[in-house]
Amino acid sequence: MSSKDSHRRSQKITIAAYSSMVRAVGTRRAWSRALLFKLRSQARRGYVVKRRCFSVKKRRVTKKASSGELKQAEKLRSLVPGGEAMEFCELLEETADYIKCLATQVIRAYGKHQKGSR
Amino acid sequence: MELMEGNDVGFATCGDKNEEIGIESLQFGEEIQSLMSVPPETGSSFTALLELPANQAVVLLHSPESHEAPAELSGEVWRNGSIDHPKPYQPQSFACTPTFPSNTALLERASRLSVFAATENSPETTSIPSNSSATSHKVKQEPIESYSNPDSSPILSDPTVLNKNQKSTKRKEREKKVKGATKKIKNAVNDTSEDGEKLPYVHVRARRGQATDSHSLAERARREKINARMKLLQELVPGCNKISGTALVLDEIIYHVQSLQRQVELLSMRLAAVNPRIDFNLDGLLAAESGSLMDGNFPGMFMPPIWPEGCVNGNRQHYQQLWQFDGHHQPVWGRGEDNLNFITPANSLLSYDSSANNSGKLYSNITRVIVHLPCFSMSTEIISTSRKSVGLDYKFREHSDIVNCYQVSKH
Repeated sequence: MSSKDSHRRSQKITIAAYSSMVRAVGTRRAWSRALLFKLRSQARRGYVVKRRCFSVKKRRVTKKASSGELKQAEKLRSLVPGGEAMEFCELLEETADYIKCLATQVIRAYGKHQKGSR
Repeated sequence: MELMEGNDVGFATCGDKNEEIGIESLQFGEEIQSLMSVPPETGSSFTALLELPANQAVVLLHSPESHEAPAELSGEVWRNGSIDHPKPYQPQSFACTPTFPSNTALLERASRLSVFAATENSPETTSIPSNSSATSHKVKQEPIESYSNPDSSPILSDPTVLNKNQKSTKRKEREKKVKGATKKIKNAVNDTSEDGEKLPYVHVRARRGQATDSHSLAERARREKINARMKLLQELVPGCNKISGTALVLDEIIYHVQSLQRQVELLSMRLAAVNPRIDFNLDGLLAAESGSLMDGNFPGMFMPPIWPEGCVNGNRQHYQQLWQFDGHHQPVWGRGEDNLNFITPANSLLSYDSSANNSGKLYSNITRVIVHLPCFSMSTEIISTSRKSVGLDYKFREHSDIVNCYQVSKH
């Protein structure tokens, strides 16, 4: 297996992990909607889109940055899916939900991993 | 999602005000006890007045009411149509208590009095639990009223001077106090004068000593929202409780999110390596999934509500609305009995549920949603084809996912 294939495989695996998580959450969260949209458009296109066409959202982000928002907020926006277009307040809320979701997934995956390895 | 905001209810009725005052005066009781160390600035005559029984306090309250100067209320905006009613309105409106502070000035003095009362702990603290919440207010207010009472002329000169000094000190102390339980509503009017009109706006309660602009109120509301969410995040992220300061906490949060993401990827890799059963044909899957929302041609996996109903909260309705746009809404209640045994492994996750619920009821739903993600990486294929985003309750949708997971593992 070449490195490219293994890279593609690992990419597929992470996509699988995130998509299952997102589908469990559904559309009730802004971050899950954003992630779902991203995954679907990715699947439709067949490749991972580079972050270039976020001009509309960037406008709001730069406005926030110029108004004295913390640089952690930008970092957080890059981490949480869909965070670019959120207000700071909403961003915090989505982050909390995202953290909870990730943590649950990790716990379950770890438990399953342990169970499988026995 | 506004659970944290408290109740944004318009105060149109006097009854609401009563409750609010009641809550406040309960807080005053606590504050009185907390302010034990405040040195008394009152004269001896004032402390004597504090020992007056409650009924006398009531009498005293009523008499000097008209002498209250609205100018004192520089920092407090308490706009409520019912509150600003003149005195004769009182007995009709507030039937539950004989005396109700229809004047904001009264309440302000009551707050000031809470510092006075610290010196005379026994009469105050005994009176507060014994009386109703509103009358406890009156007990606090009556010594203040005694100041402005023209009948107490020999002590008039001293108390007025003292009053001013006390006002300034109380103002500082008052600022520290939190009117926690008060319902905060937006105020569209900035002036602090007491009109008799009843405005159709929603009213907010500004804290004493703070600006009452609509802008600053909005900012304050926003800041409090943000602080509440930061607190919640601090609870979620381990080790954040000790850190003070937004920037460091955010740094911790960022680090935590990154580490969780890395863990997810690592574990999913491991699981994929261990169980290379299912081909990851995800590209076609995800594209097809968007079109498969209207299909009903998969075995209906929707469980009857075996899942515990304990944690249903207001969010449920909110989320249900989000579901409506996903597709057609036909719950398929198929094969109830077959899938019963699939639930039991998932039931072990309930312990995680309950612990998660404590950390914030806003987010309690998410754990129940996620708990059935054991074989996330493996069962994606099945999940995507069999999942139907119908307008079901999110709970029942979870069941379908659980069933799907376990069916995959069964095969």
